[in-house]
Amino acid sequence: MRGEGVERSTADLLAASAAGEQAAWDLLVQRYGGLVWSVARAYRLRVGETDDAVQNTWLRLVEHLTRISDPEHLGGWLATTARRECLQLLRRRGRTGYTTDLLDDLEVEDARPELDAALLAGERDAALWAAVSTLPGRCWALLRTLMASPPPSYAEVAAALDMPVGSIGPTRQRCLEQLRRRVEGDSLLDPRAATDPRDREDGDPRAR
Amino acid sequence: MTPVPDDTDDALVERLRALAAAVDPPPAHVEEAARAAFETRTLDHLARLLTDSADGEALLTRAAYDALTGAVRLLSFATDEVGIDLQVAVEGTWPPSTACCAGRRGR
Repeated sequence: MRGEGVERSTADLLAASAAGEQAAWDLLVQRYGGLVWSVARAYRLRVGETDDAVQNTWLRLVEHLTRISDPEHLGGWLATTARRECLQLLRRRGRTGYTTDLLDDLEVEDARPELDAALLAGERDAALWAAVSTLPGRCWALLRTLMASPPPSYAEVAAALDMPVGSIGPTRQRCLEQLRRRVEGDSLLDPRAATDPRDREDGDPRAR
Repeated sequence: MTPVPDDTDDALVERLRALAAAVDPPPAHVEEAARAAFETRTLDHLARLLTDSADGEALLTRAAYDALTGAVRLLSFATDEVGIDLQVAVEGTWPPSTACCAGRRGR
């Protein structure tokens, strides 16, 4: 379920938005904002570019409010639109040669999550985030899209990355395995370690 | 052979989702802009020109002063909800080489 207003269907929210109801539009933004943001972040755009891709996506929806043919698949429509906006921004940088291999060529240095790592509660969380942030483009893009809140459907992920739905599960598993190999030998993936560091001092002998 | 997802994978993705929510959530200004995007749906029909520096008004502003030389032109549009200030800089012949636009709520 996607946030408040869950009693209203997406079709109802689209129709009400088309009729001029700001509250309905706000619920659409609330319901799908996490997905659109995650898609834009998946493409490792620069800071201002990410904001532009997201805003352009919402502006496209404003333009198409009365023309969404399948309202219950609005998430897929938004994911597709966000992907296209990201690709357009990448092309403006002169990266016109990228097509199907674009995800493999996304530059790690464009990512910014490490800048915010201090917000994480524990050093293990920060290290795990740093590890996932430096995964190759395709794995980063897939995992970052999957990180959307609320969790996206595989159809939405497929639309975001232009991947077959059937390949998402296997690719996800390979990417997670790659992430595990990167942190192998560390205790980063121990869920019990992903809490407040003070808990670790009390209960984890490795911290003493 | 196709890998089979397991609960451990799901748990790791869920942990990453929690990290992303803490480190990299949609910024407040992005969400606000998304909500405000709704106000553009009627812009084409309702925006009207309030002032045009080419008319010779507001001579004390830099934009208006430059407009006298044909270098810069300032146009202000408004609806009941949104105001738009458009500054057009002309270098050489038409079309202008640069233009910038600023939006604001209300008049």
